[in-house]
Amino acid sequence: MALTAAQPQLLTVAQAASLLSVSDRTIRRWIEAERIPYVELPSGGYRIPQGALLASLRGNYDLASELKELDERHQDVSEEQVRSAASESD
Amino acid sequence: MPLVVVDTSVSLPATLSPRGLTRKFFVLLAYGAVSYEVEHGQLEIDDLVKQAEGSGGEVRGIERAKDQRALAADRRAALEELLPPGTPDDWVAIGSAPLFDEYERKLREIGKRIDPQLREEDVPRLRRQVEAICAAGSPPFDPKDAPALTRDPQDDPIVYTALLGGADLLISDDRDIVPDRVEHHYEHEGRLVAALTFGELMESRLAPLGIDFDEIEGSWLGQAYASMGRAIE
Repeated sequence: MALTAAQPQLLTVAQAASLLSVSDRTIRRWIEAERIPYVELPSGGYRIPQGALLASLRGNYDLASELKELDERHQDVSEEQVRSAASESD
Repeated sequence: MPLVVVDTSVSLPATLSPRGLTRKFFVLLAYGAVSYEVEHGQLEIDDLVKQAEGSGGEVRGIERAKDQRALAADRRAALEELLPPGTPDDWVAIGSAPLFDEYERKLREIGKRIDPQLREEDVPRLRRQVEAICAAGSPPFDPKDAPALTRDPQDDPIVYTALLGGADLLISDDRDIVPDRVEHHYEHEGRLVAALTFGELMESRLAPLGIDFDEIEGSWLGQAYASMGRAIE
């Protein structure tokens, strides 16, 4: 199995920003505020463990409120509606 | 630990239809994500420290990660209390930038047809719901480098995410990924993944585990993100 807890995937700032579709600046802000774990290299660069970055979403955003608001608007949306719209666009 | 990649054809209904079966599956994956954080988070940090020592670097941000892990333990306990007894906590979703980008692209394409009020700021919020159920990611890659594996070049990075990430299962209702809706095995450079439809996943992989999805509420996904009465900065 490729995924093991002993081999964290380390990302550059650009790769971390690309993963989450945020700016490099956002990642650097999280680094400065120590909102994500990271390695500071002797060269001054940073490396961010991918699993911890994804887990940090649950702390860096209010996902529960975002979900609640979206779900309230979409409570009557059926899976069939979504599938049908998706297949029409294929 | 079943490692899974969830394609857009499943993640779109899971995020946009709160009462659907795909959302209930997302609850299972969120349970897996918080459980993974609790069980493997410290090991990841320990390994990070070792790697940093080897390279002369320094690890920072550990304290907050520790607080987050404690919070994850509370979220896991809250979900465990809600979920039917015996619900597995080891189903782990894997993501990648190309996978999340494809979700966002498709959402922009069909979102307004589902929700005419869909705003620009809703797009990253919905994308985050897909990112947050993932406990791990495949090694980063450029979608242009994904080998031709399917009939649709846009689907190749999805399959490649599963192969590179070492996923056991790729769940997709896309006919180009699961032709004829029959389980299909992809192989590339010695890596193998089974692609199957969501219906087949329910029938052949989840039903034998005895999980009663009728007893799971889609809104419980919020428990995986709840502050649990703690003040989060």
